Amino acid sequence: MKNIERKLVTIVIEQAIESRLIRDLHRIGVKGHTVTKANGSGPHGRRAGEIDGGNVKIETVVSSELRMAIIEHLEQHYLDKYACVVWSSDVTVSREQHF
Amino acid sequence: MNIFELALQNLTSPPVLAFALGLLATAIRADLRLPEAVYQGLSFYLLLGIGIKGGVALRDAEFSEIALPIAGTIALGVAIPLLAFFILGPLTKLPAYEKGALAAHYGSTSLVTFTAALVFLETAQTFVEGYMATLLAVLEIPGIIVGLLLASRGMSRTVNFKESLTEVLTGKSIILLAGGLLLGALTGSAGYSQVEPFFGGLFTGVLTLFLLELGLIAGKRIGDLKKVGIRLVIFGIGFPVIAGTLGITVGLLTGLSVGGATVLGVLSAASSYIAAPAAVRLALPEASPGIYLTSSLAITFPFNLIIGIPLYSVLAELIANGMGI
Repeated sequence: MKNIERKLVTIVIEQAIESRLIRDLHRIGVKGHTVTKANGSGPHGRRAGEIDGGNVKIETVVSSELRMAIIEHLEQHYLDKYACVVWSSDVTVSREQHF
Repeated sequence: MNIFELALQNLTSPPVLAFALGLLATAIRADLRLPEAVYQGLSFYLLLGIGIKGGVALRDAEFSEIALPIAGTIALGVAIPLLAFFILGPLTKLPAYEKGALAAHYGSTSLVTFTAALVFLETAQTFVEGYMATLLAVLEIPGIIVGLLLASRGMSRTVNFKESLTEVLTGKSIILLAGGLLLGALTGSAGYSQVEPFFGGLFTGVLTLFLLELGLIAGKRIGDLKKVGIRLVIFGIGFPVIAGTLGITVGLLTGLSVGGATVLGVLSAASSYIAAPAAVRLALPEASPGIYLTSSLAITFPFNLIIGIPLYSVLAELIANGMGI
């Protein structure tokens, strides 16, 4: 088994924006992603999408270059406008072509 | 019946009482919440059910009978957000994008308020044209477009209308409502009789459950009233009465019965809290949900549900008498 270093990028964003962000991510070069519902609280409190679902957590495993590109894109178009947080961490994957 | 008897009849109806229970439960911090999937399922049921019933009635209606009310409803869909925007100007000091966001919400309408009005008029044994759900679908869209247009005036960046419009047109409200209308029109009374026990007999019960959930959601927003300020509370109560009166008048002028005009008044007075917030959030991230959702859901919706509906039915009588109809 090969151990390949990748970055796990995790984004939590209000559900109303989910489909737009996922389109953007794939345009930047993301090959795959996972979406789960997410509840919680932060400095801003509640969400516009509250009545039709709260937040979603979008996770994707990418190269470190792509991680930078994603974070730059979020800084330009999302972080100051929407309820959105992003963090990343190191992960190890076994199939290089998948990520 | 006089207005007090009507108000009492409305106040003691199961859906309105369930809404009050939801508000009360939130006030005493009871940890109540309908599961998300159930909430979604109930809203599917209400939208499709209203659509199918409207579609069956639409099939039996003459084109000449519905053409004028539809034209009148489109005119209301344009006029109401404009009116909201210009009234908000002197009343509040909000920037254009906040006023535009509010105009989009008040220009669009609310399925649940509409449905509660139908239940109210049915209990009062007032005749209502069956095709009113068509007008509900018609009124849903133009207000949002006009509101976004008003908000985009004077903005330095361009507003992405296409994405918001796609969101509204492919959102569940329009697909299920318009789809239901089509389904009802194709299947007719004979087909409808097969699903009547589900979509007819159970309808008020499901509405009651849905309103309990809306009471819980609205209750959580009541604390935000202090933040939005008294001027917005005045708008949230005063504007529906103005828009409602306009809707009733247009309804009577375009040939609707007193019951039908009451419902068009309710549709005009109601503000959106499902379709409009989603579209506005995409197009106008600057606008604060704390303002438009609180106003729509915690002020206008309860006002219309509890006081507005009987009030508009009395106003419709008075205006019809005044016009000699």
